Order: sequence, then C-alpha cells, then structure tokens
Amino acid sequence: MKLVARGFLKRAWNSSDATAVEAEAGRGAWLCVCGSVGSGKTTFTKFLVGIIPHLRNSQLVSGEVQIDGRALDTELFEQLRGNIGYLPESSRVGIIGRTVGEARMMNSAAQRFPTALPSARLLDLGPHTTVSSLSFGQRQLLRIEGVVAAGAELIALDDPSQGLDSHHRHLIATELVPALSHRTTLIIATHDELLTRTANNKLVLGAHANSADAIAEDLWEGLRSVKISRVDFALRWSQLRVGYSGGFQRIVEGGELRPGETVLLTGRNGTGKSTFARVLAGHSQPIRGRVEIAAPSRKRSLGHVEYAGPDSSRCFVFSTVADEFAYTYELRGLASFSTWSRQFLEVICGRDVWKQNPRDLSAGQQRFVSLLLRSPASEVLVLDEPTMGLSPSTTGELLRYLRHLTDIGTALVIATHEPGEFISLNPKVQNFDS
Amino acid sequence: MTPKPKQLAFFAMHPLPRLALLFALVQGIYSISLAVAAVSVLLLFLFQLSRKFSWARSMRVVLSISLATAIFCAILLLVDGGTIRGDLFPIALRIWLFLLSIVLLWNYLDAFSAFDSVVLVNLVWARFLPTGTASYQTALVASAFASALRSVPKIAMELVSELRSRRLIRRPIFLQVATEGFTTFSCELLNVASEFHEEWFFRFSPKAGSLSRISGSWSILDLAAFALVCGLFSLSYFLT
Repeated sequence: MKLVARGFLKRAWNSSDATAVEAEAGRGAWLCVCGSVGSGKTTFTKFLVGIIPHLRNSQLVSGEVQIDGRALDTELFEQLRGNIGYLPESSRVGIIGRTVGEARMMNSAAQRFPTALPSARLLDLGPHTTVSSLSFGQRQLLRIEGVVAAGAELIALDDPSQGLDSHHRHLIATELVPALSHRTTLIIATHDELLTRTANNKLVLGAHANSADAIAEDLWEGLRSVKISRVDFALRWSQLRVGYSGGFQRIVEGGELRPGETVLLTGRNGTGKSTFARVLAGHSQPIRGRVEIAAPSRKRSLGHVEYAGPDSSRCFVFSTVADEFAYTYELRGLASFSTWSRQFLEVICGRDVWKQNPRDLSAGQQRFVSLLLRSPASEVLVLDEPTMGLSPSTTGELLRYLRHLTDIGTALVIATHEPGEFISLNPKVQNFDS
Repeated sequence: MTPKPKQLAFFAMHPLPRLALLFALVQGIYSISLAVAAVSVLLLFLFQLSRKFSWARSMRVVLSISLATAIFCAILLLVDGGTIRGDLFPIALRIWLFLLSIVLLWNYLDAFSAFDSVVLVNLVWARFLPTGTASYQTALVASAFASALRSVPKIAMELVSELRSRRLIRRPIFLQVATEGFTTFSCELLNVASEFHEEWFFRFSPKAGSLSRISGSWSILDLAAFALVCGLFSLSYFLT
C-alpha cells in the first residue's frame, strides 16, 4: 500500500496561516511524523489514515490523501478501513476485558488477516492479571499488541513509546518497527529520539517559537519575584506495603523528604513507581505503613501535596485555559503567579492558548498546562512521567521551572523512565528494579 | 457495492409526527424496561439458584445488562426512528438478544465482565451488518456508550479528586465550579465514546450483505439460543 498525502495544516482553527505539508509512506519506508509540542502531529496522522474527515471533523487540516493512486474518499475509506490499524495517543480506551487474557481474546477476535505478527506479544504477564492493576506503561504495551495483532496493511501509531521503559522502547524501535515496516505501511507520530533516529523517512512539522532562546531571562526573573511563603517540613514514610490486595504488591523501605529535595523513582514498567507515587500524594492508601507530614507549625496551609498523573487530559475543569488559572490561583491569592504562568505558556504553546478550551490542546500542551496548574505554593509536588509527550526543547523549559521550584523549597517526587533528564535537580534516586 | 449511509430520519421529520414518535418512544422504552426487568429478575434467581455467584455479583451483572439493554434500545429507537414500523427493529433486536444470551452465558462462565460483554456483542454484531446502515452505526454507538458508561465512576472520582486537590470545592464559587464540573464530566464521557469509536472502528470490519443472508432463520436461532441457555443453566444447577 503506497500512501501519498498533500495537505495544509493550521495551528489553531481561527488562524489564517496554513502550512503546506507533503508526506509519503510505503512498505519498507515507514513515515516518522515528528515536531514540537502542538505542531499538529496527531491531527496530521489522523488525516493520513482517514479519521479526518471521515470519522471526525477538523478545521486544522485539509488536502488529499492518495492510496495506491486512488484518492481516499468515503467509498475507498469504507473499503479499506478493515485494513487500517490505529493506536490513538490517549490511553483511556483500547482495552476491552477485565483481565489480560480477555483483552487478548478480544484482540484475536478482531484479527482478520493471517499476516499478524506472531512475535507481537510485548507484555510479559499471565492471562489472569487484571487490567485495572496494570501500570500506565503496561497498558500501553497491551494496546500496541492489540493494534499489531489485527495485522492491518496500514498502521498508524500515535506516540507508541509513551510511558515505556528503555527496554521496551528499544524493543519497539529495533524489533517491532522494522518487522512491521516490512509487512505494512507504517506511520508513527513521536518525540522518541530512538525512533526518530532510526527513521529514514521523516516529516518534521512546523515548529513555532518555543526554543530555549525564546524564554527571556526577565521572564525567569518575574518568577523569582512571586512571593511564596512556606514552613519547614518533612514528608516521612515508614516501611510501606503498596499495591492491590490480592494482586501486585511491593514493599518500599521508609524514607524522608525535606524542602528543596528531589527523589526520582525509576525502574521498569510495572515495578510499582506510580503506585508508590500515588500513595505519597495521598491518592491511594498503602496496604501497610503510613505517610505523614511533620512540621513545627501547622498554622500555615501545610499539607499541600499535589499530584500530576500520567494522563493529563483529565485534570481540566473549566472551559478555557484562562479560567483554569484564574480559579486555581487568583482566588488563592497567587494572582502574580497566574500572570507569570500566562506569559510562560504563551511562549511555550503560542499566543492564543489562553483563550482555548484545554481539551482542544495537543497532548503535550495539555501536559504542560496541567503541570503549571500544580501550585508552586504546595510543599511537595508528586509528578508521574512529567516529560512524557514533550519535545526536547519543551522538556528543557520544564526542567528550568522545576529547578526554580526546588530553589524556593518545593520538594519533588518524580516517577520517570528518563532519570538522565533530571540530573540538574541533584536528585536522590530510588530504583524499583531491585 | 457499499450502501450509502442512511439519513437520520427522526431528525428530518415534521415536528408533529416527531412528537408522536417521541411519545411512542417513551412508551416503547417503558415497555422494554418492564420486560427487561422481568427477565432480569428471572436471571437473578437463576444465577443465584446455580450458586455460582454471590447475590451482590448476580445483581451487578443483571443490572448492568438491564441498563445496557435499555440504553441500547433507546439509541436504536432514536437512530433508527424512521424504520420503526419496518422489519429492521425487531430483527435487529432479536439478533442483539441472541448474541447477548450467548455472551451472557460466557459471562456466567466468568469469561467476561458485564459491560465488556455488551461491547463485545455490539462489535461482533456490527461485523455482520452492512456498512453505513443505521443499525450498523447504532451498534458502534451502543458499544461506545457501554464503554463510556464503564468509565463513569472513574471519571467522577478523578474529577472530584482534582477539585479537592486544587481547593475548588468551596462556597463562593461552588455553583460555578459545579456547573463547569458537570460540563466537564459530560465532555469526558463523550470523549471516551468518540475515542473508543475511532480505535475500534478499524478493528471490526463488517461483511456487507451478511445480515440479509442469515435474517431468514432468526426465529429458529432465537429458540435455539433460548433452549441452549435454559438447558445449560439447568445443567449447571444440577451439577453444582
């Protein structure tokens, strides 16, 4: 199946500037769609496989896609759609079944072609493991298995390596992708350097000004002038047993976190990093043991432990980004931070971001907004995969922001597969592989 | 040749017949709900008699299926309103009930959870339907809806946890936050449904014309399914 696309891509629906984009993909030459946060990778990938305009309308992209010389109109889309596999970026759906075995049964029920890859089993777990006990990365592996198992001739994967450890990222980049690209027409939208390095057919979508140079020094000075008062505190935990009763469990040794310190939780997928992070943030209860904040004075607003999970799309309440910040900060006496974050966001995500509905933003932009909605006045910030879906330049800006938070005394707990990115925070590392 | 997508006849109607149809819909859904409730109670006792499930689990399974059936029927009636007096509705409903009884049995054998059964039935059913017909679209919409329903408690809990975390549950802005929160909740459900549709739309390709080939023998299949389910329930009762 040979795919040729010519289209025009806009950054916002009301924008008058459209960029011309051309792409080609075929067997043996998989297409890697990359670019900065909000550049339209997901939108263009949906356009390439026909979701736009046949299943979903979008005013951001227009043009024509040809498959084997025929225009992809409604009739061809209906003929081909059983031969298309699509992995959406969002991990909210895609797994049907209570256990891993049921989910695989559903995948095999959807399998139509004998060409499905026999080695497509990525998740090394038994059939009786319940889906609800899987970690974010394990769910992602199961979703990829599902799409690959169908054995379609045109496969589009939107950020397949999100939330995966280095072992699985390597497995996907060096084994799965080459094997798939020989059998199918493969399109991958990604920020993953491993994948972009191995691709010889790259489409880099138009970046806007979000490079490190664009963040002016006076903006960082402005952040330093935001007054945040805090008390001396310590987050302590005794030996904890975390996990699910009757399912995955893990014992974590006791520890302590003081103002300005950073702890990195690292390890392979499914080792319990996120579960432990949620327990520290108070979002889950440990099976045994306890977590407490100790401080000499409890008069201040002590006890602010805020959490940002891997799925940032669910943290929005209001209909514009401006309202999200106004209700979160201005009513709490942090109007100066709200003003600062507006300037910061405009540099990272573009000028019109403030007026947009947060649900219309790209996944990377949503992640950035969701992280800025975690109050800098909180004593402890627990972040689960904060750099997931961010481009390298945006990751750099985020790290600079986090470094400022540790300077003013915020303690950070970060669950990550990329510990190297956080070296500048001088972190303590807790490895969950052992 | 692929049939053209059907126009949603209900929305194209004159207001008066539409009102009459809406009235009929309410009555129809009420009757269906009553029938489903009666069957559910029967099933509940069957489940319980066979001593396989606890009361709580039997209730959960039966209520989920009743709810999903009522919602499915409502969607079917709305989307397929134009052909309500034709043959499609009874045939579609019988196919759906037949598949549901098979998967219900599967569920009973602890292979699937209740909502997943409904999703599975609709997806498998969609596979046999001609593309673009209202019934085909209904099957996909119903699957997406069942999937979204399964996410309701999780979405609600995450939203409340977010509101608490950001200190947004308080008096001066409570009404505003509650209104926005409710909108968010509805948006999330729609998002889940549309994402589900996007992903699973590609996985199940329908075989055009399958329905017309097999629709003639549905009454026999209905009876066969009913006999099979009753027989197996009785058998399991005597064996346990």
